[in-house]
Amino acid sequence: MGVSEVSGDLGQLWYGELRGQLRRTKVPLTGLTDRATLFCLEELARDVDMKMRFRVDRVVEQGGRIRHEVAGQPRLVTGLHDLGTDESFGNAMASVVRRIDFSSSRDVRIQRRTGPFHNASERVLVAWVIA
Amino acid sequence: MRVTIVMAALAVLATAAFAQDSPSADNGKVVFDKWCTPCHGAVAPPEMPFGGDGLPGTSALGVKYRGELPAVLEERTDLAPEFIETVVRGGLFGMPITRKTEVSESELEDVIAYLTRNNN
Amino acid sequence: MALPPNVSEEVFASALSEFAQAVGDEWVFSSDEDVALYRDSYSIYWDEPEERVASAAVAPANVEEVQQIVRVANRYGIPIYPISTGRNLTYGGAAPTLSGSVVVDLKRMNRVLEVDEDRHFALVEPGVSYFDLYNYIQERGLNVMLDVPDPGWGSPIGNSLDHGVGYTMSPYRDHFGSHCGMEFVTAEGEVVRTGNGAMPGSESWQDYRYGVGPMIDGLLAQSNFGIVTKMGFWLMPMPETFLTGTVTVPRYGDFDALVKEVSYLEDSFLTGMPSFGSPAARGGIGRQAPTQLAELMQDGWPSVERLEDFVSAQGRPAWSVELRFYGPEEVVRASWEAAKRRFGDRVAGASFEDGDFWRLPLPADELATNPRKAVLGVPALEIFATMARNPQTNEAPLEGHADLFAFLPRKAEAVHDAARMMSETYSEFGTPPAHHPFSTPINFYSRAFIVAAIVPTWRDAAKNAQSRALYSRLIDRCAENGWIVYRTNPAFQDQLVSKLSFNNNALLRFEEKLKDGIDPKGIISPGRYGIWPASMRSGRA
Repeated sequence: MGVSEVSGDLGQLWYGELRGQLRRTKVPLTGLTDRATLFCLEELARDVDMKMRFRVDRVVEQGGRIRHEVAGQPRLVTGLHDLGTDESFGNAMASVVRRIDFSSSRDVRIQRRTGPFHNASERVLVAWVIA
Repeated sequence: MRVTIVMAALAVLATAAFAQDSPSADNGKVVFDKWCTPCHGAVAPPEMPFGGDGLPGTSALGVKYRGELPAVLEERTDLAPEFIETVVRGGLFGMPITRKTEVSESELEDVIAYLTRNNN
Repeated sequence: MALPPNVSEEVFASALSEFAQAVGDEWVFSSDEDVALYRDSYSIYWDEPEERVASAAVAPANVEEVQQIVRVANRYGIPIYPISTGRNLTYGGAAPTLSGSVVVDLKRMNRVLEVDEDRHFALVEPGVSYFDLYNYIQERGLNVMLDVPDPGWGSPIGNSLDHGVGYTMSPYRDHFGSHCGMEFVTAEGEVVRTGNGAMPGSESWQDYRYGVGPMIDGLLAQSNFGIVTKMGFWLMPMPETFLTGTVTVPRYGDFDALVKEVSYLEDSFLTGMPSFGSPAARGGIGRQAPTQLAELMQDGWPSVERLEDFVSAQGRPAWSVELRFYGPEEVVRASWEAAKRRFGDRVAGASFEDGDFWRLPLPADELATNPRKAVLGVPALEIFATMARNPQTNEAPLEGHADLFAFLPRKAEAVHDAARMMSETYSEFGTPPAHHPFSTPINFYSRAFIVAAIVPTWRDAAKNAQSRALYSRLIDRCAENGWIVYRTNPAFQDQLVSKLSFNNNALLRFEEKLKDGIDPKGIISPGRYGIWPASMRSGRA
């Protein structure tokens, strides 16, 4: 399992590291990012024929309440509501990846679930699987 | 199973620091027509030379999305502003970098407003 | 931040601040993010130390600002690199020849100064693109036709100064050859006008280009002797009609006669740009679609007898040429009839097919779906379909290319020899050859044939190293055969110029003497097409 932190140029991570690796061997990508970063990554991933399989948008509502918007196989959502951003996140997402049925046909609706990209949604974090 | 995990706390791609007025989708269409349509427009000769199916950008996106998303950029409803900016300023495959003396920062904001006008 | 060679940070900061006084803060670009916009998108050294990168860019709005920039650069010893629209892709784009140069971005100088529809010329600034000039003509309904290169975003000035070419009648296809009069700023900041423009009050700057005395315009092309700020171009009057017809000849050995007759028609101004093809080899041997041709070439270059047999087995003619006629209907139809008669008299079995016939100019809505914009002088970007992602390249679309166009004499034998050399050189590098015994030349420049190699470039160092090795070998091989590569990327300009070695490189030595006299500090485009200032010449053989 490789872990990468994006703090600057996503293009560097993609072109410098991920694209080459994924062209050689396809492995599922999973992560926790904001929506815009995810959109960029999703576009880039199409170049190695990988697409969004599953995503949970963690929306912070007025008053700090967290709401989850899930796209993908609903049975995978179990256990994701208390995602941390530390090791427990990795473990939880790895468990999701193990449970995804990659042989099933891709659900195009998941790919169309992207924005909105307005200022208020900058605080939205998305947990996702691209494969 | 091997998995690669990507963590990003924040998108750090440039924001519209210099935009003083609010972006104009109407002007964005004018800029788009001048700078983007020759490759990303919807109207193309029926048989492009060398077998392309549509204008170069539209044809390429058609291959990329396989009908799952529109190949014509103006029909998209999901484009992230940061992605548009990254591609315009960084180029992508055969599409080269576009400089600020060609499309200024405020014109790019306008193009972004135009392409995201129908976003959900 | 990158710095110009041998310039301290303090000196550079002073120069940038004086540039800003000349053009305004907004038009000096020195942040890493802004300077990155001046990278060559198709660089064959992308992200490697040898990639040519700028230290800053400055964008003047008029000739006075160009003069001020040059004076500042001269005072501080800052190398500067002018670009017009910066779209000279495959030949360096917006990036300088010498890393650390300050790019002088002329895109803001974008005025069409004059288009005369009675004397048939245009006078433009460097930032004007073919699209801009075309739109100017359309908006005013002027009765002239442009001659355009494939990508319409280029500059008529920039394109002609790198000896660019187009698609219509021969006098116009040679873009430098069809220029008339220019204005440029010297390294010392003086404004010079050539031809009749040197006489104050002259009304014939764009009508007579020699003026009196030596014609120095050629010194401004593929060189570094000044910054061109205005240039005139002769235009073709809008023809009444456009007609095409295709001639085919049956045998492999008929190519010689076909070539000679096409040259007769072109040099008599009876046809526009001819377009050769090979029906027998339909489809060629593209990277993705090996055909019987690949089998034919398995055991090396086939004999003429085998090639004749191959043609017979295909049941299609060996060669074709499309002729394109511009003019009044009576004239183009008569020209096509005369061409048919002449081919019929000279090649047994020649056959003929009528093609398109259009009244010009075509309305805008018809043009939008017309695939033949370039031959009609209409700028577009449709050529990029050749490199765009397609089903075969879906996972690794081309990221750029370095073009190598070898100029050959208009002889069948030279075309076959060049195709064979290209094919064998590609094979030597383990690259599937794109050339074969039925490869046909391109006739951009009417007096010579071009055999072209399109070498891919990538944002990947290992793959670029392979592309560079192939490209460099092709330059060598062309020179061994006496074929000149007419234009190249900064990465290969020294190598290419070294091939012009007649009398111990007398031509380059002459140019260097000029450089030393005209630009003693060597500030304008150091190294462009092998012309280095004295202080940087030591490494040259």
